[in-house]
Amino acid sequence: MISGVESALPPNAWLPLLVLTSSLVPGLMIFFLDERRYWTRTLLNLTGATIKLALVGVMLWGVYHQQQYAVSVALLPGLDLALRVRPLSLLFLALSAGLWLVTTLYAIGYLEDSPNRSRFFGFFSLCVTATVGVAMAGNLLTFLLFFELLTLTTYPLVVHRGTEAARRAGQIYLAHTVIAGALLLAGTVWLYTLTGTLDFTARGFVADLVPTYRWSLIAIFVLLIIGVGVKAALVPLHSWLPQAMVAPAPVSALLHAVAVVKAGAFGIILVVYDVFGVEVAAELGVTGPLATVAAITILYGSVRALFQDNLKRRLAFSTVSQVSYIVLGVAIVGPLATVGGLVHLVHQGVMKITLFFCAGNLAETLGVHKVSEMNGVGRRMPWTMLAFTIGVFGMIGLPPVAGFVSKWYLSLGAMEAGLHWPIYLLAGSSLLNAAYFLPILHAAWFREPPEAWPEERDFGGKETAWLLLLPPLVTAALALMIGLFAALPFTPLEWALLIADREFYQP
Amino acid sequence: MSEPTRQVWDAVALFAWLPLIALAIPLLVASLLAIPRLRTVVASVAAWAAAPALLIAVSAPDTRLALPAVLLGSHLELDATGRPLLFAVAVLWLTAGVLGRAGLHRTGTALLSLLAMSGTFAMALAGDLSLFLLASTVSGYSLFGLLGGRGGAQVLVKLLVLSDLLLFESLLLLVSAGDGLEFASLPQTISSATDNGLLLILLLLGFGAKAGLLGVHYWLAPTISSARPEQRLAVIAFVLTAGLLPWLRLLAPGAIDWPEAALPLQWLALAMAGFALAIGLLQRRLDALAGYSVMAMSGLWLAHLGALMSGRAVADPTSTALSTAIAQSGLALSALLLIVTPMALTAPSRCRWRWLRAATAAVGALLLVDALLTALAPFAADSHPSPPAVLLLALVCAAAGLLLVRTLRLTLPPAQSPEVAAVPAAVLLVLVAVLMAAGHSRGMDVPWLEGTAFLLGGVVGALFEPLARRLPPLPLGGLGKAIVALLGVTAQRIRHGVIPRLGHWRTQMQSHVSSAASTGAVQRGLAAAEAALRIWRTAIVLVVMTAAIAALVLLLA
Repeated sequence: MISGVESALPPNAWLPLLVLTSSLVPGLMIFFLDERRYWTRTLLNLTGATIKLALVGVMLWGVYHQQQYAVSVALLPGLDLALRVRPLSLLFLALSAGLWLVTTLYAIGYLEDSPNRSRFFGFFSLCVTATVGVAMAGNLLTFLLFFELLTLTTYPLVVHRGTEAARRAGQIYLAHTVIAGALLLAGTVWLYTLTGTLDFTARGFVADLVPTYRWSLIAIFVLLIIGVGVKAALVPLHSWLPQAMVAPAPVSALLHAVAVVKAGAFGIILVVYDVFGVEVAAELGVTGPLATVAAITILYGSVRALFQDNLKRRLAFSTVSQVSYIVLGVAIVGPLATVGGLVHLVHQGVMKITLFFCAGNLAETLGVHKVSEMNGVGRRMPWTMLAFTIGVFGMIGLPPVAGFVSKWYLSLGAMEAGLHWPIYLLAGSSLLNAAYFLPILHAAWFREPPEAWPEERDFGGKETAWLLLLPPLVTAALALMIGLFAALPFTPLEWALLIADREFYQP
Repeated sequence: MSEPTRQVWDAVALFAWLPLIALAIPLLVASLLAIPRLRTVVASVAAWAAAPALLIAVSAPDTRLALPAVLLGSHLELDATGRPLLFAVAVLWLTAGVLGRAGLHRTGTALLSLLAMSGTFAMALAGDLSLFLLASTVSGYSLFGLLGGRGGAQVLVKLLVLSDLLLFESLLLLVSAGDGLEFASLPQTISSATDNGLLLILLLLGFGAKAGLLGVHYWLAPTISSARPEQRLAVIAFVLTAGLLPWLRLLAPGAIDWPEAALPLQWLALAMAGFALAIGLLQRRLDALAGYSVMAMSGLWLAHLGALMSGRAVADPTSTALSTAIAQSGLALSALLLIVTPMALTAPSRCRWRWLRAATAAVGALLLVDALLTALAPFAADSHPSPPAVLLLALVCAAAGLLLVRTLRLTLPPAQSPEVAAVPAAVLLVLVAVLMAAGHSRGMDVPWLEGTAFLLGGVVGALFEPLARRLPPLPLGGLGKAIVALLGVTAQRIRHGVIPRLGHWRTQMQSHVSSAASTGAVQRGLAAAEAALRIWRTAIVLVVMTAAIAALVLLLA
């Protein structure tokens, strides 16, 4: 039985379901398509992505004007599968829907003439279904279900190439995420036994239990954070991420920018704000250790990135570091830090996906996989490297690219909370970012190219296929625009300010 | 609203967009590079992309344009302080465009030139620090690309990263201390901030790296000396807008009365100027004079600002006068530097070009001296100067005179004349002369000490310049490089003398350890660790980890 808002199901209740099905249905259909049905598959992919984006746009407008979109399905007595779209959900939804469309285009170009495309795009669509389910989850149970579905749907993408390295990476990924899922389940069950509810509530739903079950709540917090922290690549739970770089570039882009790590970070946000409440979490004393873990992860990821010659592994460790900016923003208790952490969820996604797209272009067009092979590549692929340059500037935190805005609010948030060490940490991280990204740019633009590239493909005199070139240019332009015009309505910054105002800090 | 009123209103409203037009036109031209068929057109147009900014600087009224959607809320402002510098950098970019028009046919060069140009215009027009930082970033990194990423430019990019971090921290302090980041309110915020000392240091270093401040100056001389003429002008434009202009806005004349900070600032600035002049004199290469003279100019203007902070009076204490004088010195110096390029000195000569160059050099020198005397005017107003201050000032002025005379000697026959460089240089100086005549009043006291020292320095230079050439030359990069060279010699002695002995002891110790250890794994591990420690990245890791551990210990303590 589906329960909507009133007895007659209003359209608002259908929208979350439509968002889910816009990728679920095409995904299921694609599984049964023959490999040769290129146009059908492409049509299904793009139609689903476009419809999803349109639906998210409608909900964005509606939520801005205080409309509600919710639906729940009874699963067990007292436990529903609940979808509820709030401003926080839309932050992640918009990111997922927008970047899914771009990644789909990219994947179509990247995997042209590759085997097993139907399988790939089938799981691709299911992965996005799981991601939007995580975004719209109305309670911890729904979140858990879609979170685990995400694991199951991304595993085939990691092992897609079928090589020994891919299989090993898949095993490591599965081991990490399954164990984490078990801990998440344990924490969820334990929490339910104490509270009798799992519904996400603004400012949490465990405040009344603090005097009586203080240590239990701390233990639950630890279980939940470990459970989601694996996907968020918190040190020392991060080791699956660099291994997963053996997957094709669209998968890496999806894992790192859209789906998996963002779902993990989103989970941390939900646990801190909507399960415990940030004030209760601070009272329990768990935000300090969380901030410490985030700080260690930020530094560790950047330091490891410094020593990587493989480009995708360097980007992977950069992701390990950058995602923890979100965790740091959450752990510093304060509205501005919250804004910084939330907005970085989107900004990091857009910037990082640009870098992964570019890495994929270099690999597909020239066979370049290593930083040491990138001498002079800017002359051969200027547009790709222009997009890469913009992404790098954003990672370092230079204006006007989006990363500057995130760093600004995180730093302001730290000052507001009376803490100075996060500012030094962010400064140190920016320096390290510059240390491992700027040499790439220098080599690409100013060094002499080799006589021959490792495996150059001919694209008829063009830089590369337009389906490979357009997505990074779009995302790079987006990274630039959302930074330069950060104060415009409906930008990630303005939306993060709205979330902080409406959901976390209103009296 | 009546029709005439509406027309006036529309006209006034249009004026508000002029600052945006000034910096948007180079960006618009740059965007056309995306269309391959238009690249030839862009190459021709790019050389003149600074013309609208020049026109706006000369004719537009003071105006302010709010840009609430940009970054965190910004605004552009054409005001009396920024206008002379907008004029100056527009002239510099136009001249650079003419000189370097052949290079603009390369897409990369055109793009980077236009971005750097737009950035410098935006810095002259920025009404708040956040927009200024954006413009400085765009301009700085574009300049790095324009310089080919070699030599001094590599030092520049590292200093850009560091200085932008310092400026970011200072922005945070300013926001927490005051009412936002608008330039108009910043002097008051700095004065009243709790951490005003730290703030001043951050701002000095952050902007100083771009102005060639002593200690963060290492990029300037190598960059200018190895740059082509048009690139030198771009660098000077960057120094004027990214280094000197923010100092002028933040330490606006009369806005801050802070004697405690003023004195060390003056000393630092004079030391900077003195250092630059001394090192410049010891350079063997002619084009190396260029970088140090720019650094000296920055030092003297910083000294001027420091003197004003201590409450010393000048005849015309407005920001406009100061900004005009800075612009004048920048243009005059640029003209001189165009003349003393190696290309200029080796080109075939014709009589009229030789005399044009000599005349240009003379006028340029005069204008530069005039501007520098303005810079030193506050010191003339000091009725009780301390002897060390007097001596330092005198030395600085003497060195300036010596340097200028040496430069001028190079332009006299039988040196060859630069047909290419002399014409733009002459036009540059005519414009400066017009600027001087139009807006630059001279009702100030003549600084007799400084002027006498300057003339004496010039006389000494004329008489003893052949002797000065016999002094040991310093490598480009100044004392820093000499110190590094000395360290290199020391390191070599250690490597060939001490290390082998240490290695012998190490080997003995290792053999003791390995005989005690049950497997060879320990020995292999030690060897691997030793090899890893020699990699600089490992050293960075260790530094960062040590700092993190130390911070953690301090935090827990």
